[in-house]
Amino acid sequence: MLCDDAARFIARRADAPASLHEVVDARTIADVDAHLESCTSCRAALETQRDVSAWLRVRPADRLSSDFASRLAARLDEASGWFGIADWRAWTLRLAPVAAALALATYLGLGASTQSPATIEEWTLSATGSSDASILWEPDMSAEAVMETMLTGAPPTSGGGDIGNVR
Amino acid sequence: MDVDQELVVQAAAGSREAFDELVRRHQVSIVSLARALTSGSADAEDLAQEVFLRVWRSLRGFRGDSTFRTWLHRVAVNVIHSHHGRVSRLRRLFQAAPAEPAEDPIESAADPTDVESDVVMRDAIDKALATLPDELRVAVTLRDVQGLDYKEIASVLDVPIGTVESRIFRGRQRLKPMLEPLRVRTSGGRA
Repeated sequence: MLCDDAARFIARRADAPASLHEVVDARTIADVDAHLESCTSCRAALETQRDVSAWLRVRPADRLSSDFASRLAARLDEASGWFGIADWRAWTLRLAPVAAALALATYLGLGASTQSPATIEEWTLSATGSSDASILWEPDMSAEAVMETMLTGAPPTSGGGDIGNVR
Repeated sequence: MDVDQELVVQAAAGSREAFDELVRRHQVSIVSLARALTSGSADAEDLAQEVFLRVWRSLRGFRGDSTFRTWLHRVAVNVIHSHHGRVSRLRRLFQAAPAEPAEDPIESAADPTDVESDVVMRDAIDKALATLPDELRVAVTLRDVQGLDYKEIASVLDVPIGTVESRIFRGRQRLKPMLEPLRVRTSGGRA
């Protein structure tokens, strides 16, 4: 076996020799070991692999900042949609069909009663829904009576002439 | 079924408690990976959070072909690679001086005979790793810092096992002169 052939197995031979059996047969392992016995540079490489691996394995564990968990939780909440209610863009998109439906319904609903009254009397009748209001258009109705009726909402209780008297 | 697997099933069904437990089990490992692969960058925690966010979003797509740990590391390596790409593009854009690692990480971190604090030692290791080409650094870090086995690393990087073995071999050989001063520490009181 040549050095180049052995090199591939030296890393694994250094840190997980038992796992060599997972990738090569027993004969190849014996060849690697025989090569290491006879080759000084490959033995040095094996030693280097062991050393560096050992040094890296004692790299001290990192400490997390105290707010790591809370910051992550907030981002996960946001991603989960809990805080998405504050996202006006999401709401705009979600509510767009509802708004469109409401606009259509409003248009259609108003459309049914968009036939404008031909005269102001008809308008008053349609607005109050009561023919009593037509009395306001009696020729003898005074301005004060009209005003009082409009403010109180109560139709005049007596005839137009009486109503016209100022109290 | 191992603990991770059970938690993954629950989290994929929408359990935040299960996912929070997965995060607790792996957060230190992923932050360490991010720091080791970004030369101790202050962005490491943000990158780790990005990793967990991506995992949370795509948990339902996890088919269980590999262990959760392997999948988590694959996501992490991808996130960190993307970050590297963005940082490199920005550097080129503004023509800033590249952040070259020091010639001798141990010397630049502190007197090697005076390497006492964990922080200094960690920084020295991270700076040494930063001198390696990306593909070697990732392979060595996954093996010796993260403790993944060769098969897992091959799965994370989507390369043949022989390639993993070769990258780890070459990476360690290059690190030797830079980490030699740590021999005092590891063969002394600590190891």
